[in-house]
Amino acid sequence: MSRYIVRRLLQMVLTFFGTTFIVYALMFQVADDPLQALAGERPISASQRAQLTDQYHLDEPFLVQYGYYMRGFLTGDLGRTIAGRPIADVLLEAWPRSLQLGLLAGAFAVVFGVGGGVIAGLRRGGWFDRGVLALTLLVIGTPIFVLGTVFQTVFAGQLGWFRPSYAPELGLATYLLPAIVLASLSLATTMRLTRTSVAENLRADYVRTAVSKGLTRRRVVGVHVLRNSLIPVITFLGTEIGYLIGGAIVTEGIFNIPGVGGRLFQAIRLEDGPLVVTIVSLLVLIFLVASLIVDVLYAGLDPRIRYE
Amino acid sequence: MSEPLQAPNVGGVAATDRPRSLTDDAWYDLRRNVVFWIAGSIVVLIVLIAAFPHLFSPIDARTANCSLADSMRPPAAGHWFGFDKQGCDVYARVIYGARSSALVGVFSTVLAGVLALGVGLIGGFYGGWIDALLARGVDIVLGLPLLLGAIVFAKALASQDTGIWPVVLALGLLGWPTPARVMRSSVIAARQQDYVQAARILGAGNGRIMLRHILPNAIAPMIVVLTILLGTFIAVEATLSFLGVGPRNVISWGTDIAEAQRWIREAAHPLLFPSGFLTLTVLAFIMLGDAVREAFDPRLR
Repeated sequence: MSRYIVRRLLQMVLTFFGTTFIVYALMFQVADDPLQALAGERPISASQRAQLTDQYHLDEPFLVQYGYYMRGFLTGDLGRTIAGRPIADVLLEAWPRSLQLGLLAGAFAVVFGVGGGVIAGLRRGGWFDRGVLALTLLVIGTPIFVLGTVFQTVFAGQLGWFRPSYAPELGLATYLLPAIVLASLSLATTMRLTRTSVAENLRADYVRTAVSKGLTRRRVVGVHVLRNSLIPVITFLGTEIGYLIGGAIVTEGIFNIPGVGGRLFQAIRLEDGPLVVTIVSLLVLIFLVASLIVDVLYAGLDPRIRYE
Repeated sequence: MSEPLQAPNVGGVAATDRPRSLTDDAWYDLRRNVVFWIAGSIVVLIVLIAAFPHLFSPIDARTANCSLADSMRPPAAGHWFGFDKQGCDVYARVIYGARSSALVGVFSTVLAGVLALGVGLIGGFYGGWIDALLARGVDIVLGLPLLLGAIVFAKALASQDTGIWPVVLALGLLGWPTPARVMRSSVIAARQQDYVQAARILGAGNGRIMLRHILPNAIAPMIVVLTILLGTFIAVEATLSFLGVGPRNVISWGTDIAEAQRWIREAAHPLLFPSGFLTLTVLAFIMLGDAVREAFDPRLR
């Protein structure tokens, strides 16, 4: 097991450098004039030019530039935005909002996804099951920005149940509608996964054994079926939580939430190159760590899986 | 678990035609699947709209004179989808917007498919250090979530005004790892089959075995994944347009939805119609892929 973790860590380090290198190379090498690409369509003054050249070591060879950037990134020196604000400050301020939104969305996905999936799986072929299948397919096929704008229009605009955009004075309630939108895709996938898993496990031999031992249905379903059905679901949710917390670019953008995703959304619109690169690198790191944790947990959850 | 795939000939009844292959079985199943026909018809319709938009809309959205007097007019006879903020006919824009979505979807899927085919075939066939090397490449690209990577890619390439190509390149170069993994595992499964041994004994070289024997038998699962990926690519293209880094100077559902969202308080119809078409298209590809996968995977029956 520990050998497996060490191997995965080494792979992760390689992946992290490879991925961030691609992002960095794209931002700074593809464009004819990297400074202009950083600044977008705004005119760029000589002093800004000198400052950016200095900040990104653009007068050095490319690999050295990347080395400097990574050294800064890993020692917590994230550089400055185009406007001159330290990126670390921006992110520290944005982080709690993304965390709240992501955890709320994760809770929705777990409670309703698993709950609905279990009911649908137990009543396979019934009207509830058919309804779940059709509705989740619709959600999976709808791009999240469409779902977000439509929900915002209907529930916040026309029905007036929610505020259409971020209102910090409301506390956690302001994240309610965005969290539903953000959770929708994970929720739908969780529900389908749970349904299939429960329906399959209901036909397993150990369930027949449990029933013939005279156990109550409640115990058979609640303990035997559920525990075995949730293994793939937990794996899926583990990788999703990273996406829910960090990757809410579209949702945070639509609802104007100044979280990490919302900052990225703004940075793209304002063509703030340094901020885009830094946030993307940071998100890559989060995704990699999340998937490593899930892989390790997987072995703990399912004793049949053994890494050498 | 392991039921015989060819049931019809049990009992030694001499069949006049050849025994059904897995492909024949799958086609037999598909012909009876309502979802397959519905999803397939929608896909054909979208392709027709993308290829010949003038057959579906009397107004050419690319050259139409939009009049601000029509701004946000609700749907009415002759203009079923109403008008948008600029006073353009929403129906015409939806019809002409299909082309960029379809082209981005098809080209990026072809690019991703070619890369996945090469990587999966070579990695799965040779194994060893070549496979390990390619697997690290897959890891690196998979480490970059599709939307994030596409944003950076498209933004970096966007300074040159080249229509849909930055987005096609971004999606194609980032989308290949998943189909490549599928291809690799089906190549590994095919490599151990008797017919490969037979071909090798008959003196066939690696290249011939890969292309003539393994490829035709291992490609089906990858095609299915690519169908679903095509739907995803169309959704991501629209999302990129929505975020403002999509194809420039083309009519696109994503751009129209983003524009309509700004004026959502005035009227919802310019948002709802392109959204509906987009969802329908993405859904059609996902359902088509699912139906084909179910037909090819006997375990799901």
